[in-house]
Amino acid sequence: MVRKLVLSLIAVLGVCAMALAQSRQVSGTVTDPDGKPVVGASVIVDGTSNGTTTSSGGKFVIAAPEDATLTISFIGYRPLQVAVAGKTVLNITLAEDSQSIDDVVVVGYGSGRKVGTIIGSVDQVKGDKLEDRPSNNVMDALQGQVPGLQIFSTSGELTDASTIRLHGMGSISAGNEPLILLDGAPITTGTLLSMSQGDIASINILKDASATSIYGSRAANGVIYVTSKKGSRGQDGATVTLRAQYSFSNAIKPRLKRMNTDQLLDYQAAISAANRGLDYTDPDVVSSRRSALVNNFGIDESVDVDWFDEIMQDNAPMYQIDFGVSGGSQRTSYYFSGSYLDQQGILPGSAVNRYTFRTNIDTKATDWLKAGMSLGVGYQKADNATTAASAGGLYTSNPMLASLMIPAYQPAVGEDGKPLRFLDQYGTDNPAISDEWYYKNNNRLQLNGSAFIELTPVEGLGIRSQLSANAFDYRSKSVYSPDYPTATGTAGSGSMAEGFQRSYVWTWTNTAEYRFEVADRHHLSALLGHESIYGSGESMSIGVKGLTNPNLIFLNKGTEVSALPSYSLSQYAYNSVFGRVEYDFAEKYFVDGSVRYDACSRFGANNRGATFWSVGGMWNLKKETFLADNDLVSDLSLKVSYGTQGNSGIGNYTQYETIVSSRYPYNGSASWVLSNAGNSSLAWEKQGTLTVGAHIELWKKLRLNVEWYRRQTTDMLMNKPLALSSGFSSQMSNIGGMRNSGVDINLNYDIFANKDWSVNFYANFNYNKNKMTKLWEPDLKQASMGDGSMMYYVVGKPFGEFYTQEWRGVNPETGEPQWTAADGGITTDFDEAAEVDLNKSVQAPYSGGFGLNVSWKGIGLIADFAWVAGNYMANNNLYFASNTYFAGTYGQVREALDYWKQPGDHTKYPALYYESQFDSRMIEDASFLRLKNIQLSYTLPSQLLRKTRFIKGLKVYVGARNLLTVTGYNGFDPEVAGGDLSGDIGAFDTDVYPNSRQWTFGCEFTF
Amino acid sequence: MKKIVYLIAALGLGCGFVSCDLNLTPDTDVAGSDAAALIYVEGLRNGIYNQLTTVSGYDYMRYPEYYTDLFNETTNSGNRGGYFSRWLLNATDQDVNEIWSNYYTVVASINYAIMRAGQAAAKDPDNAEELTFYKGELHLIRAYVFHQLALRFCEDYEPDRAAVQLGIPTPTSYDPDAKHNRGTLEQTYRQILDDIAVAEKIVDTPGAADSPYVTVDAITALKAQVALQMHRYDDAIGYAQSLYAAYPLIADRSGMEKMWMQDTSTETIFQLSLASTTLPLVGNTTYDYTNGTWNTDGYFVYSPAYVPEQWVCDLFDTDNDYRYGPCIGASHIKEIDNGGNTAGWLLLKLTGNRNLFTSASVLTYKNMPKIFRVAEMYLIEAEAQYRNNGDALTPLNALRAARGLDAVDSTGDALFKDIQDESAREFIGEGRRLFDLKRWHRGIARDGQTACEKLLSGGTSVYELTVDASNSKWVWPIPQEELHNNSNFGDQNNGYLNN
Repeated sequence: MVRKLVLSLIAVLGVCAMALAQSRQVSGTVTDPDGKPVVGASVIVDGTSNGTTTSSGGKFVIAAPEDATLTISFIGYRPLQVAVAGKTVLNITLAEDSQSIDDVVVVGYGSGRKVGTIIGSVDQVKGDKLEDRPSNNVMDALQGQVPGLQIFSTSGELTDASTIRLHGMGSISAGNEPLILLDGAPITTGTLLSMSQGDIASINILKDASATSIYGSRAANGVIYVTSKKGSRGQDGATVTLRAQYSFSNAIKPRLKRMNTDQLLDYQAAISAANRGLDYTDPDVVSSRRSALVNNFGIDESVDVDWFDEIMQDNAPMYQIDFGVSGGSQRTSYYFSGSYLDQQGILPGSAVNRYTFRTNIDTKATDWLKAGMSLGVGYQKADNATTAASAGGLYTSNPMLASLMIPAYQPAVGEDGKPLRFLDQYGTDNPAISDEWYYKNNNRLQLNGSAFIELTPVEGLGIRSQLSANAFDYRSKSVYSPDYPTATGTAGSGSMAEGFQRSYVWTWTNTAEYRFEVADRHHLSALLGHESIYGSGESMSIGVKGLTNPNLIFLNKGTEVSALPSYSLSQYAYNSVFGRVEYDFAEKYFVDGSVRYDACSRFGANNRGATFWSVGGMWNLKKETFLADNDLVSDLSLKVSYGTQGNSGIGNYTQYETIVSSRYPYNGSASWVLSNAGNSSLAWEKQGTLTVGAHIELWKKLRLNVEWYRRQTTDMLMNKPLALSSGFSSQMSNIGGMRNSGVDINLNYDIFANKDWSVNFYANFNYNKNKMTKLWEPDLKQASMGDGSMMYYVVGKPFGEFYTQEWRGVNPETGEPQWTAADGGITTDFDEAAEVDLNKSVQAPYSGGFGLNVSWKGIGLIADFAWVAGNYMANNNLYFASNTYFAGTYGQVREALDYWKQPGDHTKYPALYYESQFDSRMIEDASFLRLKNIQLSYTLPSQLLRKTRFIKGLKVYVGARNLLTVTGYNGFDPEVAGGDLSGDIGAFDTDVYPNSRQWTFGCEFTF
Repeated sequence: MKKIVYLIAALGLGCGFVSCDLNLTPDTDVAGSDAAALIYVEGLRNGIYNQLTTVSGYDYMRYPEYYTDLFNETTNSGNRGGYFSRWLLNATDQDVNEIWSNYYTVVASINYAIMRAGQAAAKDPDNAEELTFYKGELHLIRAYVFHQLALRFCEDYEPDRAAVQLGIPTPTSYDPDAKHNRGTLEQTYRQILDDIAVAEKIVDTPGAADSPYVTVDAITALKAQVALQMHRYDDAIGYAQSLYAAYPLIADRSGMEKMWMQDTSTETIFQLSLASTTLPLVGNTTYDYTNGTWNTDGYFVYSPAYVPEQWVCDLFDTDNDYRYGPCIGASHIKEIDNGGNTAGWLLLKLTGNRNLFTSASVLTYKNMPKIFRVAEMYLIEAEAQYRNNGDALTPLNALRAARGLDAVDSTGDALFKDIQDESAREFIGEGRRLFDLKRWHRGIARDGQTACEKLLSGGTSVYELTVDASNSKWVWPIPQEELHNNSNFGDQNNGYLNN
């Protein structure tokens, strides 16, 4: 309606204008990028009101002066200005707006921005980096791609999400995970994990205040903005993509080498001699102890099993197929897809099975009304391996620990040639097949969707309302089957537990954005918005025992309740208003500012609200006259921003003093217990971020981006220790301070490009210095993070500083173990060893990635490396696998053979009289470099395919993940070091499921 | 154009309506001042009885026992209680920390319940009487807990030095942020007496055997205990005597068996209640005194972590003492038994209440904690009479007679020794001897059980350990965590280092 009005106005005025100018007839055709005519596009002579619209063939005829400029615009396409320059026929191709997703970045509400015009620090990873990487985990493919973004696959378990840290850790108790948004609505890492990576168009990493402050209270750890694929309007016919991938995974052999039967028996015999006060270095003594061991325990010396190989599954397969259809008509665009994934893990009892569906539709109902909806549904079924994390404790029957601890002389198969069910020498059921009788599985039905409506009442003004939901139902089950093997037979009676969880988050976002120009050169945009978020989670569980039939393992077959039913309900809500103003002068000088007010139910009534803001500026030097014609410098810009963000990632009810009902009545009467001291003054954790950056491009080939940042966390949420005599040990309070400062460098170089060849190299680097700046008392400089943590909080040092008894080697004269004493000297008594600041932290100060993309005609080679350096991890495996205390009955690693025998020996391990202690020996450098991904692909020439009249494109590829790892770390997998470090839990490598090496074959058809 | 206006208006209205309610309190629990209601105060009071059950469980009472000369550690101990047994306590000891903080958790719960009871009574005066009654009970429990803390973490009370002896914090109001000074022992006992006085004014529950709640008799029993400790011997004698009539002593072996295997007796004044569904409230003593597995020959074979010392075994008259058998005796001990004989002795009284067993062949090692037994009253009177130069033989012989023993007619030091031995026989395993030794100013000279010698751990320096009465470490260390987080606390106990 509006357009008609405007057009008729233009027509009337046009007639008048024609009389005034010295004009000639210019004709032409307006087409879209596919060559289709664009009907109804407006063609206007700049500086006049002379205009017309294109006809059914996209044709137009207009009178215009020879030196005039025409502006051609149509909704859905980017406006284009074309100089007449004396020509009489102009053929014009418009670029589609919605298709320009590659160049557009969403920086928080409102419409997207061109990459070069954003003040905020935003890194973009495009979907093609993700879709043919054979991982069930989208984030894994991002490792090493973005400077400052550390991603660790901290477990090989197929359903475990990666740990994501942007610019270090800013919080201790309120979480360090960035805010993850899918098309604007918050989702969890779990949701991202169970999406098909084929559905992702791009992932944007929002790093600085200018980009993140508009997200206020949830943005302290940065924002990851995921855009799902959309169709494009005006496309003739649909694009159908079909991709099939097959891969297989194998375990990566640890650096630790097991003792074989012969070595182990001699070692055990020597220890047994030492325990009896005999001379363990005397071969005769050892050999007689060895015979005694062999006889007493009935050991078959001819058996020598590598239990790591026995337990790890060979060539664990993965099969994935996904298809997508996208297209659009004049007004409506659509994308829909489906995918199926079936993957086995390398540990027994680890598998995942996933189905996903997604539809994204949007339509321009009228010129002023746009509406759309997207809906993703996923169903995931998984079996989880037994690890300390999944079994809730470290048991010798856990497969990872067992792969080190089962003695080599323990036979793997019985006389019947079948795997033994019970291992007599080891004393547990067989971990290689224990998933037959002890298993844990779960399934998850996930739904995320959103619907929006957008009005454009006047040009430049967009009013949008979007309602989104992210929800899932999760069911879990763990089973001890009645045929659980014991030393003498089977358990006969089994047990099981089932849990149910439902979680949903509703987000309603309303924004109004107005973009306008003044005098051509002043570009302004203003945004106002409101957002409400409501989240709720509910869970229940129950367990039964007395199951007797291994074929009928159901809750109703139990004869007794083993755990009373549990139930919990938890809710939270946020209300927010926000605004942003952006201005640029001729795309040369940019400034922006944002402000957001958030109120959250998690904080005390008086501290609920907080205001966050940011200001930023950018100078695009390339637009200055002195650089405009410079061929060397093809792009140069400088930016700076400062702003504040918050963190509210604590428990929903931490602020409340609560009493809870106890499941133990006293003398038959209901009882209640005071459970939480509460803190009614609990408030937001705050953060201020200053970022200064420069971007330079040389010869249009070499791009370098450098950014320096400083993130200062104040009012940090921490458990403040209380006097025990108050009845409480700690209370959540806003007390601490922490700072991350560092540099991000991103380099991208198109080394060579011509018609056939393209060679591109990229590298990125991050240095991040994390330090604690304040503890709970003003003058408190350090405090233990708890007994057994091996760490202290130290002001001026990173969070997660190893600070424990320092190993000082073996005394070569006496064979005694030595540690640093309180006076700095040496003690041989562990009880007198002092805790020492080791200047080693679990946080990696250096990280990065680099890679190469080479293509020649249809052949492409991609290699992506990722690395971290300078971080440490406690290698807990060593405590079990090289310790005289455990050696008596368990397998050990070969390095333990380096023990002291006589004066003058310089050995790693002391005389056999001494057990290993938890000391600095366990702490190892966990730096690593990984060839995360390598891929060789071949895209068939289109001439060849044209003959099929059906297949438009075909690409085949072979790739590998984690093909190569370079590390000095002595455990299974250095990557697990990035694990959860919240509260008082340290980065300990204890029975962790390692990552695997994976080969993939795939093909991708386009129709 | 109109449509657009309507749409915008609708959106605007929507924003107003959709704003979420931010007053989200826990749905399944009760937050803050909502707890100020009779139903919750009553529930909190029951919860405090449960907490008292936990800290009074016999697994908690092991630690003071291991610190004395009653038991020797064996190679089965797995270092359970090893630091107590070997006298290696320091300020960072986790068991000491747990004992200290769990007692103070009970105190905080009591102070919280008392605060909410006051508010609930103000809101609804009709309930005031019932709420006041609960406050009375809670004052008594608080006095008992303060006393238990003082017995472990303070020196023995000396009336002429109490004003300078170090006490323990005695918080009487709810404040998680509080940093209390430990004060003097005199102040600690004054608070104990004040709390007892408040309880006495309110609580009128008549006494009954095995009462699971605070009664007038439980109050009297605590008064007797405290009076003895404060050297108020006349008071102690009076309080103790007043309880004899209502709680006749068990005078046969089957009665002793019932007391420990069924938790029923005529002589228990205050016994915390356990049911089969609430057993997890107390830890078990499985690994400590017995750790029996059912043998195919039809008896339990034990792998105890601790065995009674030789002098303790020698105290028992195996023919006449009714406690021999139900409480202590020769048993099948792994690696000691040869051909099924029973050379070694074990503590047996804590193998668990048979009525709460789920299987006849699995011991649960869980008993209802007996807070006060009348036997203790006889021993309190005997000791007080002895100190007063009064008639100590009458109460002592009354207890001996009930247990099947002949009367003694000793005097002077020999009489005191008889009283002490009777206390060891009667209360072994119940966690009293440490406090007795401190009060008697007696050291220890350990004496390993001969039959179990090959099981004893740590060498003679542990199982023949001697500790002088003057050793400052009879008083346990204040946990370092308290000192670190409480700048007002005051000094650590003598003889302990702080990091």
